[in-house]
Amino acid sequence: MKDLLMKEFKWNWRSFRYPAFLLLLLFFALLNPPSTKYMNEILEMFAEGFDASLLPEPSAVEAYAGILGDFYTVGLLVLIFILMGSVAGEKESGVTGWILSKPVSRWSYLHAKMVLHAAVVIVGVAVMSAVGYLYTWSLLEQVSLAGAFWATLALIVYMLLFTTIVLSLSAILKSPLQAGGLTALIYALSGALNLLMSQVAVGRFYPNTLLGEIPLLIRGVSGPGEVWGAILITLLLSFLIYFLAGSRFQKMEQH
Amino acid sequence: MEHVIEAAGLEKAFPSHKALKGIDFKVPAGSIYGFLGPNGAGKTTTIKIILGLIAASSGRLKVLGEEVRFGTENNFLHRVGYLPQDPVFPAGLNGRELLQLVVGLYNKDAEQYAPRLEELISEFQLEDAARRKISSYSRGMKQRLGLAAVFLVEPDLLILDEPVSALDPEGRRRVLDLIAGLKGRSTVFFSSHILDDVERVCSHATIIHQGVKMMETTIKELLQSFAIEQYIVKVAPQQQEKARELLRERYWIRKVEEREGSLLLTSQPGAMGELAENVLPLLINNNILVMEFKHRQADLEEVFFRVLQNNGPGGEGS
Repeated sequence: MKDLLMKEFKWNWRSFRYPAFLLLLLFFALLNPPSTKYMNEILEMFAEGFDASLLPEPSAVEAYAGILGDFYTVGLLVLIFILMGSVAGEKESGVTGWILSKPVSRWSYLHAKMVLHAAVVIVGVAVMSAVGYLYTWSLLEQVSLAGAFWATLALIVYMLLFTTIVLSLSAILKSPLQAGGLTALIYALSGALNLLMSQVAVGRFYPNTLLGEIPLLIRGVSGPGEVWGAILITLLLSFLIYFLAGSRFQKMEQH
Repeated sequence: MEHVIEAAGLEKAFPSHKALKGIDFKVPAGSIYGFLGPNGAGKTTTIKIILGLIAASSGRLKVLGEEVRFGTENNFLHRVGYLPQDPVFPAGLNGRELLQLVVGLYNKDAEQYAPRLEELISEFQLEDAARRKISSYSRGMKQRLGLAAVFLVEPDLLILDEPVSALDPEGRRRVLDLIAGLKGRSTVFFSSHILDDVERVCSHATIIHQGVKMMETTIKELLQSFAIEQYIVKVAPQQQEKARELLRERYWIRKVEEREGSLLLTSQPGAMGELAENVLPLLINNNILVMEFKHRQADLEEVFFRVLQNNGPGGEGS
């Protein structure tokens, strides 16, 4: 599997997929703190007659929550776009057939991709979140470290779910476009469904609850006890989706 | 092990058509085995079933003594090397990295295989290209790289789908020599459209057409029974009709046709030698001025056609 991991890493790095994702996260980590801090001055400068004193003082919590918010909106969509061809693109070109004609199991082939993409999401989000945290602290004030840790963990678990969904759909669908399109649709629908889920008791285990908890965790209003259930269910759901897609992939013909 | 591949009643149905209709063949160990047929005959489908990439609808298949079961791990793949007709490789790698990946995928020791890897880079004239990304390679270079990847791990069974189709004549000769050199050491399952290539390296062959096996035989027998040769003869224009009449009467000539001011002669099957020996003396003895006499490479289409005529529905052999 080491060789497949290296192959996967070289392709995603050299084709600028991983660097693009990481640079985008870095961009948001560096953009939010100054834009939050100077937003009132900026508005005063460009909007005539605008009274900045009417607005609340910019806060570190607001800046840091903005960073994580950009990660799970724009960052997640870019991630879907980057990963949608991970298997489907190789199936289309015939590379999957070439690899599977070697003594490589289909699970190994999928595991290599899953492990690497998950590692990039975990490390990328954690590091860029830390960069954003430190920059926010240097420009504004310190945000609770524990709150930032739990918020980042909740975000990573949520992004891992969609990493799994896009990779799984890429494995079982014919084209990258189908995989990417369907994942984006699931992303949109999961947000809409969240409105319903928030009305019922079991809704606290729904994956999108994690996103709602992020600002609360940063403020210290919410704690790990509020998100453990959703984290566990989201991880189990990711595992189940990956297992089902992988099992289907075992029985798929590679033309 | 007497046979490296044993296929019995192999069938494959796709939603739109039936690609294989119950084919049987046995590939003797150590042989160079031609798997022949026109486009759409079912060759690549058969190869993909052998490699476990697609499932047979019915029938039995054993490769290197192991039953092939789609959807399970096939251990025999450790001993098989495969070159597709149009090789595609993982993107983003250069030639050397691709060969290193192959060594890793076969669980071979990278250090032990490093000298062989360099040797094959040189053998297949990829020294400069080995540092370049494969996406910049021509089709011929990709084919050479694919062959190097197959030869690298020294498999017991090489499955080569049209392995020299994109090579220049010199490259083709060198690769065919390499393949011929494997006889007795490895088994080669070789598909090709070029009669000369098959004739040069293969010892046995199966011909399939529209998913049906037409014939399984030795190459010698195949050529004796079915192969024809073609020659182009150019004579003085005013003598062309006379030459045509003279040639038409010979038992070793099946057909005389006019082609762009020349005569295209097609031998009777198995009478290639007689045609080559007798045409010139016949024309010269009849005072016909021969301006050009050259061999025209025959292709397997004609052989397929003949086999089909004899073995197909309503044919002599049916």
